[in-house]
Amino acid sequence: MRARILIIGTIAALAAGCVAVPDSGYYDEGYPYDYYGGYYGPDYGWGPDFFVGPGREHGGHHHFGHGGEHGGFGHGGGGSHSFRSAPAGRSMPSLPSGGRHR
Amino acid sequence: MKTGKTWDIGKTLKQGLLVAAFFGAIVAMPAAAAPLRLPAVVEPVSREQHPGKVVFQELATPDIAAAERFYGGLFGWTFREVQTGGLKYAEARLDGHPVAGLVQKDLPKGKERAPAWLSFISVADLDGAVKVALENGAKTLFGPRELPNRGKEAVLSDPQGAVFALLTSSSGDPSDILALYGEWIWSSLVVPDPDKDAAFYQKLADYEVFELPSGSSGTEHFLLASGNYARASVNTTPPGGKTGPLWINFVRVEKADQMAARAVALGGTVLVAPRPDRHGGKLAVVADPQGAALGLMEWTAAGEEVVK
Repeated sequence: MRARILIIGTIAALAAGCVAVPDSGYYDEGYPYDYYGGYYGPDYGWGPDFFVGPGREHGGHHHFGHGGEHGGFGHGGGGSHSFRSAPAGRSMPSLPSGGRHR
Repeated sequence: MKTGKTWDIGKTLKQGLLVAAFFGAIVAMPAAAAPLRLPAVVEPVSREQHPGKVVFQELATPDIAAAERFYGGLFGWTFREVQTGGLKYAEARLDGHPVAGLVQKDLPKGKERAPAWLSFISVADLDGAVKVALENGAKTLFGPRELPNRGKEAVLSDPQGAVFALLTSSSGDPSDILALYGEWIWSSLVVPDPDKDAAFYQKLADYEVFELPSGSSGTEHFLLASGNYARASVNTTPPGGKTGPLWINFVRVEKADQMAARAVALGGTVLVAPRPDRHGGKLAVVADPQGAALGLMEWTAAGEEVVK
């Protein structure tokens, strides 16, 4: 009888223990999400005209990109992209330039 | 008819559950005593919300002490270690403000993996954004889950496999101001099909999408904007590039050449040598001593006085 009580008690306690771990998900050891990225080595292949940064601030209309029928940034309806282009003639935004208030 | 030797299953279960309650309490005690409490993303608390802005970065690293030496030496970050919920975590700070989080995690065995910085994109409705993401080919890796101090977050992989996080921060979002040297200033997503991912992220955060001139090799360069600010780029993995789909976050530096050299002196490696980018300043990509990639970007705002 005592053995049965201990077995049932142990199983229930283990089950409770599994449920009682902190509710922290991927921050826990053993969480199935592989936290790490792939290892790619040093060959990124970024040539001299492979740009990733933003452009400079622009006040008016510019004619980068395909321009479409309306000009301006984006495609203005002239492209065949999956995304919705910014409105025709819309100036391209840049990075914030204001300082921190102390 | 019951006898003294018959197994009274009800009584046994009752006694068993009492034993379970006793041991269960012992097992659960440490967890209950140390719930996970990550530092706030913004301090002091902000009332601002900037959906679409990359508001936080978190590094998973197998050696948090080595990472602190590297990033402290490179950017002047200071660290406040947090032992919470069995997790070793360090909050990185610069100029009195949180700037990043470092999480100690062992490298998975048997796989060629590298530590990585995780980008957190602000969204106003996290559950709604996750739903949209899943409907458009993303996979959930974690959450959505409410974390004390942090807010509600989820980690996902986008339709091309780039891992990112969504966050509705309970401490608000950082202000839209010019990053200091040593603060994050830019994020770029490099994927085989940037058109597809530009559409995906636009659905999540209602970005305006701009196309910039392509490189000579035909690589595309899209810009994601929200709140009238540029937030991130989406680029084609260049021909010959051996990277998988990935987000790379850039820290603002005064001189990319000098900082890349300092990164090497601190045990890091240069992945993309400093070279001019579209805005005229230089950028570079380096890896910390454990292999996590990050960018260095020069940026001088119009009219800004550069303090030497």
